[in-house]
Amino acid sequence: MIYTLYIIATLGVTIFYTVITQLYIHSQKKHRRLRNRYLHLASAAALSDSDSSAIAITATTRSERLALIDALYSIASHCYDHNQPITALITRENNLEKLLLWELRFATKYRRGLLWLQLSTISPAPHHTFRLQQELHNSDPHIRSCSLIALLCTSPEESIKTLLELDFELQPYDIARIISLVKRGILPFAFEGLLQSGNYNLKLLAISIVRHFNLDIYTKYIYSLLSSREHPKLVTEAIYTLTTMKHPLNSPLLRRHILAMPPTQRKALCRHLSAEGYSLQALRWLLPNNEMEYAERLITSHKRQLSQSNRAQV
Amino acid sequence: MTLFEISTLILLHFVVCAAIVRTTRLSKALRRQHYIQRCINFCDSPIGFFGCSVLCPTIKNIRQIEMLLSCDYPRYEVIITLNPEREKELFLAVIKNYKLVKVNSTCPQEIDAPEITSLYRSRLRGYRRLIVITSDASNNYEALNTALNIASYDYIIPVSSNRYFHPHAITSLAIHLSQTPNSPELMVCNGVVPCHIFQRDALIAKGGFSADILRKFPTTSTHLTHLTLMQRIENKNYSKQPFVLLLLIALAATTIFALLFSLVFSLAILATILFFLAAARYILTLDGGQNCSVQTMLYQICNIAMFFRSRKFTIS
Repeated sequence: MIYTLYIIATLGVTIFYTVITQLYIHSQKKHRRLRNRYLHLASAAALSDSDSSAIAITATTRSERLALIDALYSIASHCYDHNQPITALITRENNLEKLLLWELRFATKYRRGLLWLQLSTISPAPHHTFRLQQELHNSDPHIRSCSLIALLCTSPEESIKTLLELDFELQPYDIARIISLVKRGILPFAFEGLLQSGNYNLKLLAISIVRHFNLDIYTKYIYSLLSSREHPKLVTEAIYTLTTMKHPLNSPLLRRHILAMPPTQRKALCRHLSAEGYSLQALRWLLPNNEMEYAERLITSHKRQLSQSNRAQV
Repeated sequence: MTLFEISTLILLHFVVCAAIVRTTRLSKALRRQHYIQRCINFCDSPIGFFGCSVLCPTIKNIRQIEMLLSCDYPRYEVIITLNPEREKELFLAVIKNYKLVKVNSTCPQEIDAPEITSLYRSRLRGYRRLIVITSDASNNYEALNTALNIASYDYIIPVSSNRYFHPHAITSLAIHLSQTPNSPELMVCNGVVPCHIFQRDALIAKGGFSADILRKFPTTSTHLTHLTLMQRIENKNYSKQPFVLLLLIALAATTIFALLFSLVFSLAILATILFFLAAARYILTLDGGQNCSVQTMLYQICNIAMFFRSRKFTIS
């Protein structure tokens, strides 16, 4: 009897796994085929810039509409200046916004984050703002991050206000995604204002933007961060930013902060400095004597040669 | 019912329940990774200052180097250790293929390891992140320690000879670590292909790689996840032959059991084997569905069935 029950239960689970595997394979194949078809059609419509080719794109079933959303999302997130009116037209004609809102009702966790991103990409309408602001208080960091990006896309003119009101610290991943938005021209920021603000998140973002775009004119603000009593994380970011931008290391403040670092953190910085191509002389002034041997061997090794050869080729 | 049959039934119950739990965890982690990868479209810059050094003490062919270098994350390097005396042909092929040149190698010896006899870098711009070193290391742990001495980044990923990365593996890892509250010293990825990620300074403080390195990290500084970063190098094309072969083996085993014990007992064994096949196939399908050779299926079945993992660090 026990054996029979065991056999039935195990076979039941086996059949369940087999069925969901087959369903998964089938749905993936179908989704990929439809997505590729819509990718071609939507790209062609965006390039031709004509309404008639956009209206010709029709998706009737749920799977077709989800594939079309995925295709539009891919195009928008890979283009620096995608054709917003054409995307809006396709979205309106196929009622995609309504479907996404319906899907959002039942989606949880990671799917929810993705759906918010898709919604903000294909239909950046301000009436989603309230719901997105509520999502910012979600306990899951991934959903928080996705909803922040979606919120910035839907109301870019209020981006600084949104960032000011955040009740959590921005993570490196959030910053990388915001920089991508800045690159694509969605977020127009006045970097000077961000650097001078008293908010931790805004300062962190501004430092990252300065580093990423190599904005030399703003380095005086980065130096000023070293002089004021800032959050240790901001100071570390400022030091790394200055060194990434190949600035001279002769500031006494910089030296003081580096000497105050824990030895392991200083070692990591030393590896970073050698990869950036700083000379032994520059480091001698910054590091304590007992750590100079390590720095010397790093700089005279292949790392130095690599950074120089890289620069020579660029 | 004999004592043997009762104990076997209890054991089967335990193994199947453990396998269901593990399959559920793996499938959850893989689905999560799929969603994160679709969100990565939005991010084309490095995640903070996160960088990692991939150490490979043994390679079998050039294709593996190609696959290790194929990630699109900007801050990572691949360090390969070769022994030119033992692997002369492979060494020459690597030198020729990547146009490697010998460079100065006076690197700091942070841990006790055999010295680097020579260090090579590629002259080709596309392979700047490749470093090939030669040493007289007698085993894989020594080879890893030699490579660790020249690793530049803060995280270390040791890679076995038949592994390669998923396209977004390093970006996924960077995202995962950026969302983990306290940066862990050791990250155990119990994914479809398990791997370990070490914080460089913590690893050096513990004396570098050895068989018992995992035991040296306290559980408080260890982070366990089901993230899948790697795949095994096997046949790329999915084929139905492995299933047929495994089913034949299962049928043969059942017949033997039926002859030796009772029919019901052998049917229970057959149901368990079928269950493991279905679970392994499900996980492999979620992971991309490309590697379905007999070896990969058996590996995956062992992976699913393994409830208690060894704390011994092995690299092949």
